Amino acid sequence: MPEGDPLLKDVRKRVLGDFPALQEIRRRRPLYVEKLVKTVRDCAEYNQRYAAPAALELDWRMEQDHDYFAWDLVKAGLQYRFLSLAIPGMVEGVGGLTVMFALAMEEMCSTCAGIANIFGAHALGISPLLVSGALAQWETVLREVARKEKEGEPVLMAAAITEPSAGTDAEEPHFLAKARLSMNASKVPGGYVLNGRKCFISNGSVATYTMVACALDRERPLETWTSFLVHRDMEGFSVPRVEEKMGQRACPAAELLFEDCFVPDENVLGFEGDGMQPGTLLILAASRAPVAAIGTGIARGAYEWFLRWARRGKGGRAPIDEQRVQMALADMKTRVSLARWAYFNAALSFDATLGKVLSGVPMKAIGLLPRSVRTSEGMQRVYLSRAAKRGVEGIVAAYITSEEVTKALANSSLAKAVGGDTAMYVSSMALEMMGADQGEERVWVEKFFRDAKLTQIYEGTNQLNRLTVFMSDVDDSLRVELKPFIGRGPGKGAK
Amino acid sequence: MELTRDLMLDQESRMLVRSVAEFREQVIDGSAREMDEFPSSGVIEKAWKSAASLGLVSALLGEGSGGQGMDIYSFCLALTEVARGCAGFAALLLVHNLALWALEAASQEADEALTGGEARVTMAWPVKEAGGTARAEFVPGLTGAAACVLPLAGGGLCRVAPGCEGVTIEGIEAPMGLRASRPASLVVESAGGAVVGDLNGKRDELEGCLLLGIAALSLGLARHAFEGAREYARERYQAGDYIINHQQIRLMLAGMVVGIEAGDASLRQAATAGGCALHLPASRAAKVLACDRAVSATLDGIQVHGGYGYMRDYGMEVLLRDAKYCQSYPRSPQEEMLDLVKPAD
Ligand SMILES: Cc1cc2nc3c(=O)[nH]c(=O)nc-3n(C[C@H](O)[C@H](O)[C@H](O)COP(=O)(O)OP(=O)(O)OC[C@H]3O[C@@H](n4cnc5c(N)ncnc54)[C@H](O)[C@@H]3O)c2cc1C
Repeated sequence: MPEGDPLLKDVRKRVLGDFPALQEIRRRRPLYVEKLVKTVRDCAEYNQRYAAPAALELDWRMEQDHDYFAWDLVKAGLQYRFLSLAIPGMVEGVGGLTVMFALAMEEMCSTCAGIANIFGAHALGISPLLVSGALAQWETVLREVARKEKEGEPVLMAAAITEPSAGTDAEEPHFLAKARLSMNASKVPGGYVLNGRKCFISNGSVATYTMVACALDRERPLETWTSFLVHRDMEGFSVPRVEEKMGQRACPAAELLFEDCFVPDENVLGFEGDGMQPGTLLILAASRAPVAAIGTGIARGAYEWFLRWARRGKGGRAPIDEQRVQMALADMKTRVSLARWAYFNAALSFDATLGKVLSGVPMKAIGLLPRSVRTSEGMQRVYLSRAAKRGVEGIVAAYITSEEVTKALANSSLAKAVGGDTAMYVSSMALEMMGADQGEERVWVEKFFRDAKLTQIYEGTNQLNRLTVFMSDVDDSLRVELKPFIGRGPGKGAK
Repeated sequence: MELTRDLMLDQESRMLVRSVAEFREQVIDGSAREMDEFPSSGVIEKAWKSAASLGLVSALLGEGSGGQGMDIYSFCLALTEVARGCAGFAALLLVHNLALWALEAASQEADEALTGGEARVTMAWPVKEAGGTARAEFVPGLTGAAACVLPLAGGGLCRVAPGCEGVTIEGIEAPMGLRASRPASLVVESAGGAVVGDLNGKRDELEGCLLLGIAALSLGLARHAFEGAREYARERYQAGDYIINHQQIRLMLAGMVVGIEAGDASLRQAATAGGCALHLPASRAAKVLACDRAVSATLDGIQVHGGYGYMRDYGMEVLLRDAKYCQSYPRSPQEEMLDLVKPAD
């Protein structure tokens, strides 16, 4: 990046203006804030150079051919390290946490949420490895993603939670307990055999690695919900279908089929039975703020294109001269700001939990071991041992409390609902105000509108997110349960 | 549960709705998805012929002029029924009928090809006139139409044919909504030269009919969303119960019922107010209300379906795209509303 980079200057000014809290944080942690600014700057450049010129054409192309995937746009993101933003520094990643990722999502989605979600769903695929402290996979899979990224080869990830008969059910423990599931995993010597289907999986058709969460015993789904890491070349894994969507088309949503798909023991993330409590809940606590940022970015994009339309003169008078348009612009701007502050707050509150763990002494100590030791086979065996897995749980439990993460889950859930609703409100209002006017601005706003609807559905519908806020922050019936270090028995889900 | 409008229909209207429903089930429902797609596969043309055989392409035209002489309320009932299958196709019927009606009002004889279904005509509204040039941004049915009428502000009616000198048609590449109506933008140079007659004081009525027609389309979309969502909610099991048993889902469905009931009532009131002479303010109010409620019903229709609602196969997302277009065509709701309360001089 050249000295005096004007884009960096612009972005710094904008980011510090949009997030007043960052000015205070900057006084204490200037390097951290500069890293955030630099990330947003990279996203802005990516938008200008790659996403904006391609977005409309790609959206149209994928309406005609939904099996197409824009690998060129993923490759264009490698120079900015978009695939390793969420990967810890100790395995060659950028080491950004939720705040960084959320800021990146807002920026990218202000141009194209479909393209952005390729990177978003990839990070969602990484998050189970992070929250389960699966150090073995950090050293193998995450390091591979980060290293190949530097070599110019994209390795994508995905997370598969939803089943055809369980969407909401797969994202909330009380509901999971009552779910009618269609997929399951059975224990066999040396591993597990997966059978069934997952649906709507973002990046599912293009990911090399997919985290698959499913029950070992469909009669006891909550107790036996377990996370597995599946490689796309594993026998018995296939992608029968890519969906035709209303929007966010650049990021494929696929159905995944598992037919006697064998997954070795070492690909279990965390312990058997940890998939929902705390697994999925930690993932959601981490991911809902960035998804809220997706909504915010879409709303901002719609606002910006609406503003262009409003300024376009028509016979000497522009729509912006009308009070109704001025009021609408003010309303949109207000809502975008509120949504932004909500996701930023949520991301901060999650980083205050996971960030503490990652920057804690034990993790730092592991990071200080020579790379040759950390990547050795012997160390892999250690990481995969029950004792080491329990050790990681212990570190987590020593640094953060259930209350803190539960609060972070509540914050991210409320932000997600606000972000999705804001995307819908702003893009909808923009279209309404434009009447039947045609032109470039309208085409963009229509795309934002189509993209927006998804933000009220994925990552749990907004209804579920509100129920999560109620359960975790109003009547305390939902808690993220961190496992105590001492007294943990063998995998409780195992038969 | 029956909606009030359906309970209140007289025998004749009931028969009309039933016959259009049969047409929809046989001709439209199965091809609605294709109608929404580009490039055209010919399903629209086929459906047009069937609609003609039912008299739907000359519904508003007086019997003396070879039409069905249908009143606007009955026509709206028919449009709602068609729009339950495909609002874009219903929009084609609407603008074609209004164009024929306008030609009749301007004492022009309608060609048999237009009343018999061999060709389509459309109407541009609103028409922006500047320095002799007339322009319309979004004209449903313009692509493939044999002719287009442009009601001018002064009451004159202009008629042009695509391909004629001074007539430019700019196709709208895959608009978000009302795609089956194959809309386009139109520019006519020296529009004055193409004036074929005068609307004879019936311009307001024409506008009122257009607004009510769009309201009818919206109500068809809202009905489809409601029925689809209710059916799905009875089958989908989540959180230990059929989702229709969760209050939040019932509230969404109930919100749709409230919207449809209110929309139906205001459409009926506006369409029947003062006999034939339409009360334009009531039509504006009905249009704004019905379209607003349809957007909200179709949004919730998707939401009730969860992820499935976002997928094209489930036929829910197209309802929202169409409803959003109905809301801002021919003008934004704010512009309609500002005309309801005039400023002081
Ligand atoms: C494009 C796309 C991409 C996606 N990407 C991924 C991905 O990468 N990975 C993944 O695992 N999943 C993904 N999903 C799935 C997504 O998370 C689910 O669609 C979502 O959780 C909703 O589940 P569902 O679709 O089964 O809807 P359902 O759970 O069936 O919900 C249907 C309706 O019932 C309501 N409802 C359900 N329970 C209750 C209750 N108790 N009270 C009140 N209302 C209730 C819901 O709010 C909704 O309105 C994606 C979905 C889409 C559409």
